[in-house]
Amino acid sequence: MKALLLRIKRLLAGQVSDREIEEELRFHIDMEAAELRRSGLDETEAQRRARAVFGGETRWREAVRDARGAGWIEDAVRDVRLGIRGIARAPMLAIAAIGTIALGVSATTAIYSVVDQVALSPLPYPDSDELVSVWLRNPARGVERDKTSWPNFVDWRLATTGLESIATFVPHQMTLAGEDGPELVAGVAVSDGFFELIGTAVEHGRGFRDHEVEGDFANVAVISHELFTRRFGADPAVLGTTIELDLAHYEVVGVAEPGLAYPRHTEVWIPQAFGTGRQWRDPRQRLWLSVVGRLADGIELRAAQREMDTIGARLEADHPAVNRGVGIALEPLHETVVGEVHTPMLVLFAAAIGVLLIATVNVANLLLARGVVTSRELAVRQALGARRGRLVRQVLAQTAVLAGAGGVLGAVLAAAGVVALTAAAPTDLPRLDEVGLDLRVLSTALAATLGASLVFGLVPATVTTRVSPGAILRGAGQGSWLGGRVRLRAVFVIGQFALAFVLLVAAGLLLSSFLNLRAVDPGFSAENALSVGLSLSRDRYPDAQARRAFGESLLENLGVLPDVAAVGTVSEFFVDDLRTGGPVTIESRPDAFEVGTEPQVASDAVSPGFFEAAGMSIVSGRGPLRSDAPEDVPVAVVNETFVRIYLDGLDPVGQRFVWGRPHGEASKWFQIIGVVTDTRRAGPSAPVDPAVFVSAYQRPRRDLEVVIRSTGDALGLVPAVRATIAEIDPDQPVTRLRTLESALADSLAQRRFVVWLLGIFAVAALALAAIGIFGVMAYIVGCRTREFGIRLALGAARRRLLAEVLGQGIFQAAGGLAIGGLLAIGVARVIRGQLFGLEAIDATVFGAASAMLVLVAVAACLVPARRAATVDAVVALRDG
Amino acid sequence: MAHDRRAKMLQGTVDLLILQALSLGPMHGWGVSRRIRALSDDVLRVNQGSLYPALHRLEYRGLVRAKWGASANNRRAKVYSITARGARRLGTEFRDWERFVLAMRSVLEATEAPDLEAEESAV
Repeated sequence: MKALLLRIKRLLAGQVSDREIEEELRFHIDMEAAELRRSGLDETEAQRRARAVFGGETRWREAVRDARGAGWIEDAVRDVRLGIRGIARAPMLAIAAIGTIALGVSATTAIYSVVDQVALSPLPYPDSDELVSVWLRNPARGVERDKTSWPNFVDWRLATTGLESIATFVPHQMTLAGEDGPELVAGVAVSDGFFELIGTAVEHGRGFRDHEVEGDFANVAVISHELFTRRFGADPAVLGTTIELDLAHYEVVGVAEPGLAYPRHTEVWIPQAFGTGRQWRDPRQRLWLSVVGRLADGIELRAAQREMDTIGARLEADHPAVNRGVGIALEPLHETVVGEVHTPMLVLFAAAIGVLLIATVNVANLLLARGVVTSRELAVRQALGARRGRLVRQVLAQTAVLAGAGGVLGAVLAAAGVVALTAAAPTDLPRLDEVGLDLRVLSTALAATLGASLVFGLVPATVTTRVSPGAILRGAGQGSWLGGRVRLRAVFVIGQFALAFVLLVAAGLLLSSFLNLRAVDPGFSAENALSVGLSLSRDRYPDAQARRAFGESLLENLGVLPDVAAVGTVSEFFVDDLRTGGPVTIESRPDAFEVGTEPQVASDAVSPGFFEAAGMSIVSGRGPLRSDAPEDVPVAVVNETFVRIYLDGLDPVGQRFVWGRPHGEASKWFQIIGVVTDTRRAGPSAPVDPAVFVSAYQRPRRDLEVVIRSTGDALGLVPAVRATIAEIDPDQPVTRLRTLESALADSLAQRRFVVWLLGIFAVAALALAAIGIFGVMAYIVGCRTREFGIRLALGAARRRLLAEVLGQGIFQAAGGLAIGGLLAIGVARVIRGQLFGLEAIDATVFGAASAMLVLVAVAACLVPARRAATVDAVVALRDG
Repeated sequence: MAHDRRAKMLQGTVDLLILQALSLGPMHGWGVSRRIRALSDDVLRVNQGSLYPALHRLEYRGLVRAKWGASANNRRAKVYSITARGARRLGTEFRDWERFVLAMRSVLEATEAPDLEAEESAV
């Protein structure tokens, strides 16, 4: 400790100012001069001789400063200043190096920040790795993740020990009444213990009491902190007051702490009621509950899954009619939330790493090119007596200035990139709101590029200073040690082209998939169509009669608006994977499928006019009409897939079917009146399910989507449509208003995002590789100028020189192509699941990528090659 | 390389000379060079290019200390004096030097080769 203090004191004391050194020098020279004068010399000569004994004063000063270890700070400052001056002498190179570093650092950091948050980092709940989704699965029907029924859930809850708790939740939009008009809020009905399971804490008031949940309808609600602040001014007095949700009154009993809502952005929690509502013939068949669980302490997911398999098998045995082939699947909640974006995100991240690698190699390449210039400068300075350590330090300082500037720029770009990415990303990318710049990644990326630049920056410094200066000055850059660097750089170029090729192929594959998807005929006409979501509340529209009346006046009033070509309603236009419906039985083919293996059929209710409004073609028969009265036989239109699967070989119109299995007299038979074309409403890559469209006039539903086809621009209809709905029912909120076109585009938004980014990465990689090969070829040509000159003087054809240099460049690119091809095949296999409408090893994509790569390589080599061919023999021989 | 080693040896010698010169009393840099010259009857001349770096190095190591004072003709000058540590170091360096000189002398004054073969056979 004492020694350390002493050192520090000495370090501080040791800081001798230049002025003091100067004064000491002056004193010495004066004394010496005075002595010389005494010995008889005249004034001028005495001064000259006195100075001469010091040799170079500059060098002397440096030696004095070096003698004091503490001078290093000043040295560093001076080195950096020299470094900046050196860089300013070669601005293009500096810009290229700084730009490359910045690009590499920012791309990797920005992408990783998003990927990490979206796909990798744990969910924000306490011990979130214990949280699992509990799904019903039915492999025979191709259903892997389905909701479950209340009786199933109760059985699971009773039986499980692997899950310490398990709860249901049913998210749905609710209308919150207020003085400023109704507002839609994200509501969720939860079963007992949901808050404790997720880890959501209540900051004011309380959660639900036991008797409030799972029984009859209890009108209590917990609101989110966000809603508490936005609607109630963060005034705790809201506790105990009543709010109107979907026209029912709820007492606010608690406010949840911010940040721990599940599903995210939930604004209102209400208890799940299981005692009321429509009585189902078999409640076990009504699959409507989403389930989450928390693994018991020390229980692995696999062990819990084994237990669930046992429970599932027992339930299958106990309830063979409904649970045939039905199992239970546990899935980490993280996977449920992050879902299918996982792979694309990782592909993007790998691409960013690839770009960073190429960028780093390029920096190394550029710095090695610099080395050629610098090595002569260094040799000169070494010959003039500069010490080796000093020179190395100086080269390091130059590199550090380049890397530092690039790093700072990269950090700024990364921050901007994260903002841009979150803005450009599709809104359905999960957890996007949590994304921020990841400082750990930023520092890693910085360290990687800076480290690489320092290492490769040092190569010229160490090599040069080890070789005798004379050799370098004589050889002027053609020594054998330079040959080694040419080989190293050729390896770099090959590596770069290999990586660039992989990126090109990946981008190309995804781009073709995207184009294929966009080219898929959705089966409906999205142009000039508007869709408006409405959700009729239970209290205001308690029965079918009320809902039918609403639907009727809706169609009447909208249909007479100017520019409206057709209008109709459907229960939900765009559907996701988890849809309602079930198996059916055809009257004339009751035993077509074994119980439990019947394919699932999607069910929608459509109004008269819907098929026209949506632009769907009726293949045979007709659509539902007003004349199909409520008391008549219920009618249904089926799609072509339904016909293929259930009615193969039969005339569909006139056939009758029942949901599930017929059960005697009570069976509700539907009569098929028409067939429509298949539609891909779950997105172009989703398989088409068999679908049934019942008449909304006969069986009006609570949720409906109005589709309005315009004769012109669909958006122009918006004000009139809004006004019409408000006229029919001023308290009816519109849940969603969009054009079918934008909705269709949204379904591809995620892919478009990934394709764009990957495309940018691929182009960046190719550009960097081009810079790399250009640098190498330009360097080689520079080294061989003299040789080319001699050959030209001896009568070599210019064209031959051109071809030779080009050939060399193409050879490197071809090497990259060969290695990259192998890598690309592997990568293509990995992303096979993301592809649509083409094989992983697609000849067109691979061919196009190869052609592009070679073309870019040729273009990049053309300038150096031309320079080789246009060497002036005389000049080359004189200067070379 | 060879050049380096010679410089290093010289450096050590310069340090020893400076410490010895300062042990006779505080002095400024120019005075130190004069003193060494005088003491060696004009044989040893410490190059100014080595003298000052050596003085600063010794100061940095705490073997001498420097103070701005007045010279004999009343000019501001940096005056160096030896520290206790410096004096101790002078002692050890001096003994090392004596050993070195002795060794040099015994080699240089030798008249016949040592009997190496006898030693080798003894091993």
